[in-house]
Amino acid sequence: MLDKIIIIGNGIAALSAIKAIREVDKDSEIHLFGEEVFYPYSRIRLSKGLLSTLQEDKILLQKWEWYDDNNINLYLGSKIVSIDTDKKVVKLYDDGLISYTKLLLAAGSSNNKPNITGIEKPGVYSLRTLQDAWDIMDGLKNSQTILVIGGGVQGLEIAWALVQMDKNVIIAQITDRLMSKQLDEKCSKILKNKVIEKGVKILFNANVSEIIGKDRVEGFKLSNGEKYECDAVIYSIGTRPNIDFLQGTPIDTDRGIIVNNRMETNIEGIFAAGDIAQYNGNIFGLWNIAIEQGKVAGYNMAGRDTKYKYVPPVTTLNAFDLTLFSMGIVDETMVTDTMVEENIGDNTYKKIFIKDNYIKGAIVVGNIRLSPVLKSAIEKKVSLEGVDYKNMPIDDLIQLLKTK
Amino acid sequence: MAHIQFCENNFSHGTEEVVNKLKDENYDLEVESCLGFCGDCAVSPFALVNDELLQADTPNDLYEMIKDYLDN
Repeated sequence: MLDKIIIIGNGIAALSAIKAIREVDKDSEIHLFGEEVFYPYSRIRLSKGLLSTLQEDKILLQKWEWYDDNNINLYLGSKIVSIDTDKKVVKLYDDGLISYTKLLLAAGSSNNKPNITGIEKPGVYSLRTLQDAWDIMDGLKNSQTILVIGGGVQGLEIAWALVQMDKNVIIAQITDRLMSKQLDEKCSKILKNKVIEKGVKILFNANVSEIIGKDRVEGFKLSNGEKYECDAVIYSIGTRPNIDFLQGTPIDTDRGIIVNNRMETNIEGIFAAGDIAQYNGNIFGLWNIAIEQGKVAGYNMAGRDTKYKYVPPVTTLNAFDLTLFSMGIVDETMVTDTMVEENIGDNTYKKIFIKDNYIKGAIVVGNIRLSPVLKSAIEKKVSLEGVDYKNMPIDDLIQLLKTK
Repeated sequence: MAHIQFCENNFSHGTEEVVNKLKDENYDLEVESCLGFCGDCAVSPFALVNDELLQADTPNDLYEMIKDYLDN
């Protein structure tokens, strides 16, 4: 009997799964459900493309005809509200029921909403969907001063787009530095200086407690009592998996859906991948990891036994006339050696984190052209045994790694 | 022999035409499901050549950049 596969969510994890399924099995029925009205598109393009006209057809993950060519039934604007794992049916927003033999949960994540008085006011935005991007661009036309809550990658990319639109930008960061998960202190400082140089005001250790304004945003207040004026707010403080629709099902969840190394949940025939999945206690919310997880889920659903291999998280940022790359472990306390090179004048910085003769992480600011060499060395676990790296410029080490 | 890699997610920038041109010229290349440079991939055409990140504004510029790299 042919499988009838239902995929909930149509982001990159879902599409990666479909490619894997179709590689093995051309005939099973695939029904792909997305909540948004748009054809599957590249979400990571949104924060990078705020300055351009973000058109649906320019950011598609696959061409329109790909779905027909691959025999996929695509349902747009179709939210799945619940699952009956005993009867093997999903329930749609309009109460329609559809049966399945295998199910992939790839419904992604939503932006965390800060618990702040006034967060519902008109003039407060968050960027998750293409519609959000359009709303932001439309809503900010007449805004002059914008508060960005969150100094992570997305917050910084949004702030940079706003600076280029000649807006006054204030970043409120809850910790004492920017991109604290991906950068060491020194690198955060380089980034901070560059952001300030471009006219952005950064408030560190800033806990926004209230959005002020009668009918719409007029300012904000910090928990220490300080008040600032602004006329719009964009929050970007991380994401949480969309697992609410699984309530009442026997599918194991914690913060996300718990999966094994085949991306299978505790219920046979039900898989999860991408931002919604929790593997080994981790939810990464990263594009490259969603692709790998989707692929593994797809192969296993199609009957090709495949195990998930750890994919080290990689972050790159192009903003504020600065290019940076960060990968793997960037915490000195977790490694045995580091190599550092810095040139303050031209804002370049390289740091390599080594543990027991293996490169575990790296940060590169400036020219990141050679950063794939470091990425390969980390992924392929290239040994530095016998290499006198402590007395070697980093560029020489990189050239040496290229030959390994 | 140069090791040339492309990411299929980058094709929405028109990078597939670079792949096809190089294939026509009998270059050995790989198209991967993800090369892990997602931030850069989202912005413009790119390729990895011998583990070096080559980025350009247009597919044609990328093609020229790769050819320059290979010729030198």
